[in-house]
Amino acid sequence: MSRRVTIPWQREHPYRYSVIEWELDLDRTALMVMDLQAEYVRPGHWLGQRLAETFPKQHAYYFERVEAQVLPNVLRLLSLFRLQGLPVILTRLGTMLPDASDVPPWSWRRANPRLLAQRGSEGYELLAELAPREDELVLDRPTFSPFNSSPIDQVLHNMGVENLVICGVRTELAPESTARNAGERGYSVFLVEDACATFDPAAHADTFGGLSWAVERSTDEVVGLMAA
Amino acid sequence: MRGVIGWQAPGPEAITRLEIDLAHTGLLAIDLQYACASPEHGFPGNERAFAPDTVRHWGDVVQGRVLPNVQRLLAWFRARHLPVVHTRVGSYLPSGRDLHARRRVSNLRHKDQPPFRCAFGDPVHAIVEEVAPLPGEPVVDKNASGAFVGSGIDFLLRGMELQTLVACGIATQACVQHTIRDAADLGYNVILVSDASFSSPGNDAEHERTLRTFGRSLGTVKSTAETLAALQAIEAAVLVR
Repeated sequence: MSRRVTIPWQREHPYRYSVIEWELDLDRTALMVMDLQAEYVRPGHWLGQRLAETFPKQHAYYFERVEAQVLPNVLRLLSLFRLQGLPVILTRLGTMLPDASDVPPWSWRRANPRLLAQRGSEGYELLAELAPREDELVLDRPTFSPFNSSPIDQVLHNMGVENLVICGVRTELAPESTARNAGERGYSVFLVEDACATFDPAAHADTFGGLSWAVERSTDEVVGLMAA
Repeated sequence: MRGVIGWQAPGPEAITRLEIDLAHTGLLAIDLQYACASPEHGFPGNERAFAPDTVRHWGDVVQGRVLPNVQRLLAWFRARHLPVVHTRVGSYLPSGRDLHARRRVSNLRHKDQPPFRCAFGDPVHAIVEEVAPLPGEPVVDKNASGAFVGSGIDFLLRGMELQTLVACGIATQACVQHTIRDAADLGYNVILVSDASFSSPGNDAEHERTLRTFGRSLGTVKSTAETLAALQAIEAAVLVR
């Protein structure tokens, strides 16, 4: 099956080199839901507790946004993609070994090892409400972008996927790095603004203010495009 | 040759100080080619016909601030025989068929002027003479903005046992950002040198935005003076011991 459409691409751009519109096949679109694991999106785990102690304003902002916007919008996107039988990938971020010892000792990532959840821990699991189905890929990796440490590129290629709709946490880290990596590899990428969240609203604004290699869309816009 | 340097400003996930090893630190000079870093050639050269004041201002920054600072960094690293790695962007094929479709189309979009082209072997593909590589300094070619998108750079950096990268070059929001995002993601400690890098013409705000984003949680941002002071402090402490 094929559903070719021509859509506006960059919203505005000072470059005369911008691509104004682009043709794509909606049936070659996959949804990537990033890192909605208990450790990162439920306040009761290490990360949430640490944030509550040290940066309470950001704690309140982030967990409220996750509940009020990200989760409902992610569930809408999941329903849409499941109804249309399109591929769904749910990523999980974390280390394989205790104390992040799979990260080199000299790396900045070791300086704060608790920032990455550990496989097998309670906080590593995906939220129950996502309820991954048998034919949905649950992808584990230790880097923000799965393109840096997982078979995502050949998997997407093998599945015939050309377009990605990316949502999840935390905006400027996994979602933005992935969107940029995917765009550089030729995928057409939509980064869903109201289905992403991060601790600092300024960081979220910077991701979308400077977004390139991918375009910003809202959940409504993605649903409107794909369900039409 | 280890020492602790200031890293990020306090924040929810910030690392405020980081121990680095000078013996495993290298300079990464990104895409300082005629096609990207010269007001008279390549992409900026093309822009000049449409936005002469923008390109003139941009050229002043690149030639007055960026290139002299890159030269300072090069001199410091070379004097100590520390690694210097250069990257170059461009299509491998003259036709650009090796580029992904949107990048190829984007380069061809101008009706009023010749398409922007920077292919391996073109004169504009070369690194500008002010910061040209010396024999023995590896040059990594790529056909994407990010050096880690399909080049041998990770293999090379690991072979050279590099852990900390001092990054400079053009364009901050594009080739530099994509390269250092992936470097940090893969575990490297990255110092982005704020005044030894710059965005493409007309995008001063994007330079600042990238500095903010990168410095929050991916790496650290320092001026040339701050970078050299931090590295020199480690060196001095080691010599004193």
